[in-house]
Amino acid sequence: MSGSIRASATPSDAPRGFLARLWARPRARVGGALLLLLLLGALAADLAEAVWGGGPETVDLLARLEPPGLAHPLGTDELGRDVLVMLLHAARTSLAVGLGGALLASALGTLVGLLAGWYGGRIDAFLMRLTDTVLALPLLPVLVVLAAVDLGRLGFEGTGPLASALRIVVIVALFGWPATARIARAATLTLARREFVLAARALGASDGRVLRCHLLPNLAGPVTVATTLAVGQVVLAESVLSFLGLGIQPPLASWGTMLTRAQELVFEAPQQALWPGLAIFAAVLGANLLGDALEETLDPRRRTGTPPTR
Amino acid sequence: MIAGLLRRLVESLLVLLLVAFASYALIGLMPGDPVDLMIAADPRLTSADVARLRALHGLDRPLLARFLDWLAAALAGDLGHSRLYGRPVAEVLPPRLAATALLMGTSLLLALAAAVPAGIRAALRPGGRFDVLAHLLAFAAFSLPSFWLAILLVILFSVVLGWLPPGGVPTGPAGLLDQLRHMVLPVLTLTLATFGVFFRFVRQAVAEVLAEPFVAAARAKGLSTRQLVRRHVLPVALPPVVTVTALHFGGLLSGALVVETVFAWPGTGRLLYEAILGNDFNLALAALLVATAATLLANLLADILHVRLDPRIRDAL
Repeated sequence: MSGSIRASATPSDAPRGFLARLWARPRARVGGALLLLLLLGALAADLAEAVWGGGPETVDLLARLEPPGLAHPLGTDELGRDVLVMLLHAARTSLAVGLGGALLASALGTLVGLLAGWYGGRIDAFLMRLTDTVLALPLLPVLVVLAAVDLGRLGFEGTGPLASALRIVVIVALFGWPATARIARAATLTLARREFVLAARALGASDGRVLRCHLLPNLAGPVTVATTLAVGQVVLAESVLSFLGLGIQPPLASWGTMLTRAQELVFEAPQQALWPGLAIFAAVLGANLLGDALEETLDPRRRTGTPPTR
Repeated sequence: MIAGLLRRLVESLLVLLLVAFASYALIGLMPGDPVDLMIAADPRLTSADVARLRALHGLDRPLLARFLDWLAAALAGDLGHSRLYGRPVAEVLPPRLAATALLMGTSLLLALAAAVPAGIRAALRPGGRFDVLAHLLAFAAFSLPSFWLAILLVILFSVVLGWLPPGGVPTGPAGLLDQLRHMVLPVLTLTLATFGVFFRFVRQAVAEVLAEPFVAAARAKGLSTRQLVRRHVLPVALPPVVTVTALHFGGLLSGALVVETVFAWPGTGRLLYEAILGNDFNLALAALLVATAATLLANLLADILHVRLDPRIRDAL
């Protein structure tokens, strides 16, 4: 079967690989480079700490608010901690929360969209109404209220810096799934009418098997786009909540909390506000650019030279 | 159509009720309930006193019963007492709502005034210099964390140039000019943060209409671009823009919360934030519900406007 298809396309008009088509877009290159840079920085946090010293938990009051120099490439903050080292540690937190939150939200959204699109009828009506409702809520006010909830009263041990990161992941995912759900539902609706799905059903495959083996793999494209875009949104949400003091708790470093302190020092040391904000901007912009480029690459209407897949 | 809208109204009210109950339950989970605070303030309280206090304030009753009581009082106009302000919530809230409405309304108008012409111009020449530039700007604008933008604007206009106050509102009697000076930075931040979203809406809507055959027909009749846009493109492209603008109300409100907090603007978003930090449950609940109700109302309004402006979907609702 696959041999006959391959034979029909001559090598000259064979589509280039997915990555090559993605790479052809400047947006993908810029976005990918930004994210890669931040990722490498996050990985190098310990190395940087070894070189310049002064991680999130070391305080050196004799070296407060030092200007950039050899000892501290970006200077030090009001507690004498190296700003670059802090930034890299914060990159770890933010990227981990961003990725975790986006993945969790996408998983939830994919499940909801898949079920709504496949079963239709009342299940679809209920799930989509739920999706619209969550979309209609004022996001940040709701997140602010949720972030202040004391998990200890629900029986969780909600203390420690890691718990604050985990809590943000869950809260953000709880309100981030509707976008993916809509995309997954739309894709499921078109896929469910395709011949290979009908064939699978005709062969007696159960609902679960069709969903798992035939629909889910085909949702990978649109869901990847949604997840990439969600990373930026989650990083943004995390930094806002941390900025407001309701997100990541010290001593865990976060770009948002760095900006909270920078705002207090805006008259004494305005340069403190520059780097953490730039880092958030780079992460969100990177995710948005990469997601946008991915969407264009995956969208068959914008493909050129691809034989129609029937 | 009327029946459809009525159904939507009932649904919105149901959602509001659900959000109210969920928030009521959640806010009970926040640190520091009133009795805990009293215990912390007075070490002589025994556990028997605590039980009595809980019974006195009805805190030993089931959640649903307490919620229904609260709801009945709220419907009668009694939203409880604000711990933070020492006044009834119903008195604290209205001036805050007005401040937020002023901030959001001005920013919305300015953002639309910039995004609509820019979107039309960009869509008329897709891939042109203006399109690419505006697209880049829009992309940057909605990737920009608004609180950082706010801090940068403060650094530029208050710290470096010293032209504008870094936040707050004038206390005591102040001239109109002083009021306006305090408004510039918050409004500018929110406008910039919103522009990117609206620009993309407008550009896409106009581009879609421009691809329609009837536009080609109108062009073939010899209409100028100006006439074409005004008579044939905008009447079709604007209804969806109105809808998405109204749907973006929640996003605008989220932006307002951040901007109000950074600039100490006495609005509803900052009120909610203060109430959460200050364990002022009645106030937090009321502020959140007002924000939710306003957002749901905006969504409902979006539907009504869309139906009024777009005859094609009159039967769809």
